[in-house]
Amino acid sequence: MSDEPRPPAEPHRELARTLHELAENHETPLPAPGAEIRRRAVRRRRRRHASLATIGAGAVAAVSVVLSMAFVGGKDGHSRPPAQPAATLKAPGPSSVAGSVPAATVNLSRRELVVGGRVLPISAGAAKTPTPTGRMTVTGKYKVAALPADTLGFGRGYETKTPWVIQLRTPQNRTNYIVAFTLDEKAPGNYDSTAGWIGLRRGDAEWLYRRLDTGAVVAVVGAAPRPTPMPATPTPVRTMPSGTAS
Amino acid sequence: MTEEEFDAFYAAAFPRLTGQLYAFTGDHSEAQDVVQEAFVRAWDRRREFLAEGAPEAWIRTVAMRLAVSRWRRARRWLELVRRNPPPEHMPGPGPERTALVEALRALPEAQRRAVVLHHLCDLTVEQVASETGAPVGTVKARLSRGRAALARWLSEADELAEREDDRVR
Repeated sequence: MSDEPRPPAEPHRELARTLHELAENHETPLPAPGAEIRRRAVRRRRRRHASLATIGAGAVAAVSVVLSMAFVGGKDGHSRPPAQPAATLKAPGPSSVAGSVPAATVNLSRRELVVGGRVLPISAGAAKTPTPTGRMTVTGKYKVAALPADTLGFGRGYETKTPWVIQLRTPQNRTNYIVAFTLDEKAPGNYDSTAGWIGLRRGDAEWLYRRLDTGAVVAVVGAAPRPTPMPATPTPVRTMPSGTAS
Repeated sequence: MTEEEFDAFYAAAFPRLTGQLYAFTGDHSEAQDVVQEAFVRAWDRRREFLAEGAPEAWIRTVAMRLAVSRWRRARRWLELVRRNPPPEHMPGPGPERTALVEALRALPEAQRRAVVLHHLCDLTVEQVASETGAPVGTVKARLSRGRAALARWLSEADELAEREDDRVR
């Protein structure tokens, strides 16, 4: 029935020989006498009742460790800075937000943020991670925030300190940020390379940070220009407008 | 089994089993740990252990299962810590790194177990099947895949060694 011949065919015998050799070369002498092994077994039996309780406690501890780790290293890159509850908003509720005039408008297709007659170049979400659109509310501001670098496309497990962070709440109640995109100052106005954030040049970010208050409305409109050239209107590369701090 | 009989069995079987488990785990201390633990369990559960009628196979099975569950635990832990899956097979770094050990470690666990049991522990395909709880056909497939992968790996290692030799000369 078996087509595994016994004794095995020639090449298999070679394998068996090598394996036997390997095993023989790695035999370990007795680390403890048989009596010690038996003693351990007996001790274990005696302790079984107590150890069952310990194992239970250990399992609980392990679960809590797992849980806390899961929270600390949450896959959602936007877990830090802490998302503020909607209740802390200075601004009125969403209904009146919809009615108010946006303090700033982000145009994804033109890669610019217009505020008070000033135009700031931006870098928005890359093709894989598009920036959400709609009316955002500023829900928090951080002079410096440690943001997980993987969401900046910088590799996992790192954090990068980013200055001038403005936290936004999207219409879907998600969190997004306007940040000083210090990792790549050339990106704003030229290409989209964030994980959905709106990246500004450092000087622009600082200026905007001082200007926008919590509760302000930021409208995000348009769609990011395709990296592949579109047949009709290839997007021109925008340069930094004059009068913009950098 | 009297205490003397157990001690004699332990003294005779322990070295052989650690060698076999080394082939399976690729790690010395790991092999020693799991075999020792299996012996402790054997004395603790003498009745079950003797009822099987194959004490050495019982120890080996327990030791292999212990090794496997340790890997899984370690792997899960790594997954958790790194938040991305580690390579399919946990290569515990060991001091000895012969080509064969490397090749064995690169095999999926089921194939490695089948190869070790059949070619090293001299179990028949049917015995491997009953010990691993897999159908005979599956065991045969695992064996032939495992052998093919080992052969590929070992011939590559040979070539590499030859090339190194050339460079030296």
